[in-house]
Amino acid sequence: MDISVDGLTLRYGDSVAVRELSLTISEGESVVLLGQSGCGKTSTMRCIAGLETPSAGRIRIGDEVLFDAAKGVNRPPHKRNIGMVFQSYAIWPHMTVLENVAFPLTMQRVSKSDVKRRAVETLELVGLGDFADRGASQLSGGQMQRVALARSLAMQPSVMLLDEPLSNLDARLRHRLRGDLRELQTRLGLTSVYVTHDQEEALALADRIAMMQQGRIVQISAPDEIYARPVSASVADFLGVGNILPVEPVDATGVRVAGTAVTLRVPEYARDRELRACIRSEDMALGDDVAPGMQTVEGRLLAREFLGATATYRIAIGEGVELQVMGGKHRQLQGRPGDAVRVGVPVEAVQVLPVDVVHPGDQAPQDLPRESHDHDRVVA
Amino acid sequence: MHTKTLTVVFAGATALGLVLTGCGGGSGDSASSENQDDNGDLVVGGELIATSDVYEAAQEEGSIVFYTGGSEQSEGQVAEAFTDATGIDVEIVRLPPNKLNERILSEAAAGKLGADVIRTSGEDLITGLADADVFQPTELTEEVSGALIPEATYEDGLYYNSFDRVYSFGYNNQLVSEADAPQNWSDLLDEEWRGKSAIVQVGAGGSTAALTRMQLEVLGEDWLTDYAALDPRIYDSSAALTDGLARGEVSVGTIPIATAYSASLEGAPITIATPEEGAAAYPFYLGQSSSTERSDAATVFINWNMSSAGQELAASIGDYPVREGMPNPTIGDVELPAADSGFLFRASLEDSLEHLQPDAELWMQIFGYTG
Amino acid sequence: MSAPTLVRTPRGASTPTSSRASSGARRALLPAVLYVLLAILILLPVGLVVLSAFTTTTPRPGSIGLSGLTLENFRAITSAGARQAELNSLLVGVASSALALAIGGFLAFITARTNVRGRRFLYFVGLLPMLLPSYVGALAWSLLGGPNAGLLNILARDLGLPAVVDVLNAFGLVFVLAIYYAPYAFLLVHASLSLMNPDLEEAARVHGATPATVLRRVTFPLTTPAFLGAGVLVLVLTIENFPVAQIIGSPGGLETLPTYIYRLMNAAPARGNEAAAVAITLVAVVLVITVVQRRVVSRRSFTTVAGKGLRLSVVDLGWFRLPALLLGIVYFVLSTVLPLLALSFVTLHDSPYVSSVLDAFSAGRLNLDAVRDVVTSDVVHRATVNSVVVAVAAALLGTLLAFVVSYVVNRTKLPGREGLGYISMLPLAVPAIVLGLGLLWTWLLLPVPVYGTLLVMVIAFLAAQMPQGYQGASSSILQIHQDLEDSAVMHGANRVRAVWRVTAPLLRVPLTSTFLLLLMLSMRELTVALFLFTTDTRLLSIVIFDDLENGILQRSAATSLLYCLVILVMAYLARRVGAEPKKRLPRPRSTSPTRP
Repeated sequence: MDISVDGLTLRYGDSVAVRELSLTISEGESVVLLGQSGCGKTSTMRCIAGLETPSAGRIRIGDEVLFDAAKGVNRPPHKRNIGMVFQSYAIWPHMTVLENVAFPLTMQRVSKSDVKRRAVETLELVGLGDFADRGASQLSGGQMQRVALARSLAMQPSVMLLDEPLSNLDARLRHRLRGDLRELQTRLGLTSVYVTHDQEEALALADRIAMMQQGRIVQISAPDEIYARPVSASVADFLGVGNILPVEPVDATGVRVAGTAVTLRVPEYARDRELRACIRSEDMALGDDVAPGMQTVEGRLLAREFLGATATYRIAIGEGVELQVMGGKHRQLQGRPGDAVRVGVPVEAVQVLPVDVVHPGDQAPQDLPRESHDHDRVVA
Repeated sequence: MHTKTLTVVFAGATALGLVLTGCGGGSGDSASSENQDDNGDLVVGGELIATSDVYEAAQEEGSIVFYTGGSEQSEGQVAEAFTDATGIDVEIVRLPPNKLNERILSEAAAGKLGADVIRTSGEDLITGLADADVFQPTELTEEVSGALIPEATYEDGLYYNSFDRVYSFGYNNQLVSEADAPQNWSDLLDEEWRGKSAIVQVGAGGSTAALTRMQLEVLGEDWLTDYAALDPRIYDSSAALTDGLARGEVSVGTIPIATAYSASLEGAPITIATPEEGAAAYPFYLGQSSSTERSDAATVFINWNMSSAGQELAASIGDYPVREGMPNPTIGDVELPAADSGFLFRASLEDSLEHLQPDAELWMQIFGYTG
Repeated sequence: MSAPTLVRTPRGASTPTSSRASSGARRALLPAVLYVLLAILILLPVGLVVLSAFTTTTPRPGSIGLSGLTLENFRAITSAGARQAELNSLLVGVASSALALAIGGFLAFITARTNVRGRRFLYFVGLLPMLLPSYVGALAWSLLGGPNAGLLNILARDLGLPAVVDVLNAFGLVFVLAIYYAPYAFLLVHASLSLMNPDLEEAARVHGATPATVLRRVTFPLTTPAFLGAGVLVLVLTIENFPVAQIIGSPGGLETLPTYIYRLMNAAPARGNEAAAVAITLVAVVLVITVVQRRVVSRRSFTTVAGKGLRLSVVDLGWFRLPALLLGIVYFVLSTVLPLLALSFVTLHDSPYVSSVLDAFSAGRLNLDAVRDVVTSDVVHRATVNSVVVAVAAALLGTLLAFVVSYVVNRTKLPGREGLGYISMLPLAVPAIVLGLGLLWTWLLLPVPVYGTLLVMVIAFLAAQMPQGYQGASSSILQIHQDLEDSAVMHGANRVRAVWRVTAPLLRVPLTSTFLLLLMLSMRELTVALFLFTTDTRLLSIVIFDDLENGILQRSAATSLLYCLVILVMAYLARRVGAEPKKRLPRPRSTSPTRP
């Protein structure tokens, strides 16, 4: 079923968690709500689930209105037929695996034989067919996640909500289950909403990514689009763009890097109060890769970090201003710290963006720290 | 908030209490007494209670700790009268004689006996205490000792029989009308007392042993069995029974006369019977402890108890004096029968000791009492 | 510069073999000292009770009582009276703990998880009876509910009604035990309900369960281990309870094992050996229950650590909101208000014997005489001072000892340390009255002249409360990561200094609460001290009990009120002193709430 959210607002006392959020998700589509902790993504999801009561707005699934603040409609969560996988999985330890999965079917007053049959089928769907009679508290993290998934799938929900489903798993398991999740979702055509703070996860799982900041969606587009064309420097930063440099406008296609004498040719950009030049580490060139005619910047090599498949180079281009450039394994840059280097910066690789997309009525956002990696910090 | 107001109120109450304590409590040091004559001797009612040296030393000591198996009410009266007469304070520690015995023996063995003077009943108990060297002799003045009956002095003044208490029975006069009131022991077997009668367990002390001896000897074993058949409440001590009777938990019960009378002076609605079959008399022994550091005050106390003043007080609450020429005991307006009128049943020391164990076993069997 | 090759020899080592031996002996020193301490405190009393059950004489100074080994004493446990006492103990225990669980569980549920009116008040109501010692409650209820002379019945008589209540029987005993042990159930169940992972309930709601079904299939089943645990605890406590059984049960002829032991000890001469035999029976009963609890309950315990969701959903009681509050108020009245009123009334009445309640007000028969007598009484002063001194000393020493022992057990690898933990917990299985017996005999026997002093009380309370102190200290120590202390050691502090400067300050709050818990327990303690006190070393609890036994109810009531006041003041001071000063937290960077 498709989901339509209109003007959703959620307040906690004086603070606002979700601000006039509107979102439409088509049937079978998977949308990822991505953002830092505190941006309102989980609150939005909980509103859809019915676990929070919004202060304003409307939520519709298919033809049914689940919530309408103006009309006083608020369907309780147990009647919304929405499946949800919690970050902690919320597997009931006092029941067996089968009982966990069968729970929603029992609630629906399905006949006993059908309950068992459907529950077992769903378990097999997630590859846990042999675990039916095991006590739920004796499972590993990955198994619990799959039981949680099966539990929601068993009730054939119109929508699936998944709250940071992979964050509690170790890296290897995460990658594997990520693939399984995506495959299952597309195969079953489940309308899904994910919440995560991990941009890699978002890119892998989404048909569309909704980037959220301070209770609003600041950008919503397909992964490659959002990756290639972030709408602001903060979004770019969150998505792992390695270089966010404060710049001042020089002319329509030129900017100067603040604190240096370096100027860059850039594609046309919109003027704004504060501008940043966003350049991906992998979009720049070093050494032999600098093509003739490519825009270059002179700098001095500061350090080299060897990461196995890649290497990252830090190059100073001005007083306290650095570029991070990534080089592939096959093209290592020779040189020692202190050597002069030349970095190739293709014009199209530079995006000049405002720091934030400010909504009228919001507070002005804080300055971003230069090398913020907030999106990598694990949410408590 | 709720708790805060409560605590402020209570804190204030504590402060008030502390202030009150500052202005209360009489001290017991060197009080003079109107009973002192010119020599400094203590003379009460014309009798020499203590010579001046003893009396002055006693006043220095100022107070005594009095362990007693007697009732709190009756001993309270004794203490009050004594302090009035001599200016020496008395701190009462009351326990039923059986518990008192354990306490004294344990404390004495550990060298920590807190008593200066001890009063208790029970022949086995008193001999046990004497054997354990708990007592030291008390010297009585000529005038005090001269009028005592010979049986009152034991082992050359190691301890004395200070009075005979009488074990009878009583009833709650608010619950029981005069018309229904039981007069004699035989009346207690009436069906109307079922579930409303009481008795003290036989092991409480010398009092119950004496009562049981009398009941078996004079009333017969059948009486006891019939009384038990009425399902009486069994109390641990006469103090508890007195309280239960006074508050109306039971309507009738066996009770020492002086105990009941002292309680009635404090408002307990108890009427005491003087049954025609008679009542059991048992001695209350009095002696000073061998480890006391207030021997003079103890000596004065014992002398006073054995003097006319002390004995008259005993008589006025229904105990039988051990002094010649004393009036018959009274309880309010009622005068009790004379000591030699046959009203009192008193077993000899040997008889008591001999029957102690078998009586107790029989009693426990009859009443189904396992303690 | 050359690579460093200097090798420091370990401090204090001479040659390898001698260093191992001497350090081995040194290592064993601390546990050995602790073993000796705990043995004297706990093992010796328990051992003497066991020993006395098999001999014909009880310990008195000068006689060890090893003569005359016999099994005769065990006849006492098969006598008709003893069997009745055993039966009564079990029946009363089971009934009262079931009732206590019902009351405590109900209060816990409505205060922890519903929108009942007056939640904060009801939480207070659930805890308050803990401040009232059970014997004060029993005294009050015996004043209120005696079949002929109970205040409630007198009041009924005044109003022309028939008698309304008789509390001096099995039902009354069950009732009084239940209302004063309900707070234990309340606390345990409340904690379990509050600490549940809210996700578990939300998951049920999302997957189709109505709120009622969520309670039935998720919330309550998850609370079951805590519930059962509380039930077993209360069962043990009610079976062991002496004062309430003595005050409420005995007048009705209802004997339980503790009162039976007490009666045997009070016979003249004291039948200590038989008392010891019965005592062992009581310990055996308690042990069986504890073992059953371990087996049945522990198997089903679920760790429900709080998840991401911070707020547990509140159950809407609907029309039941007000009735639930009313039920809570009924409990409040029964457990606290009525008893305090009764004590006050009896105290203020001019005569100890009350014939009419209403007349007392109309005829002006109320005055402060009894209050004045008690407040100015030397005996009461001394008892109060004794109680406070003993409580403070026992709590201080107890906390210190508990800390040292639990540190050795949990944080060191010293030899033999697990045994220390077991011994520390042993008094839990020994009913207070039995422990009191054993302590009496121990300190009559040992050549240390502490019998008859306050010191023996302190020692007795130390022993009796070792389990609570040890548990409190252990759980706090386990929460502090070993690394914190170890890093201090790495940076130059020896172990003792590391403990002093790092671990102990971190434990300040939990140690303070352990101290306060022990302080409260000591202030209320009666049974353990029953055989140990002498005239000069009476505590307030004992003064109250003595007067009660001697039938001086008015004085007992007045002293009880004073006693409650003292406890309340101490509890209040304790909370003020022990509470953490509120720190100013740094303001969070984002202004949106904690939910992402």
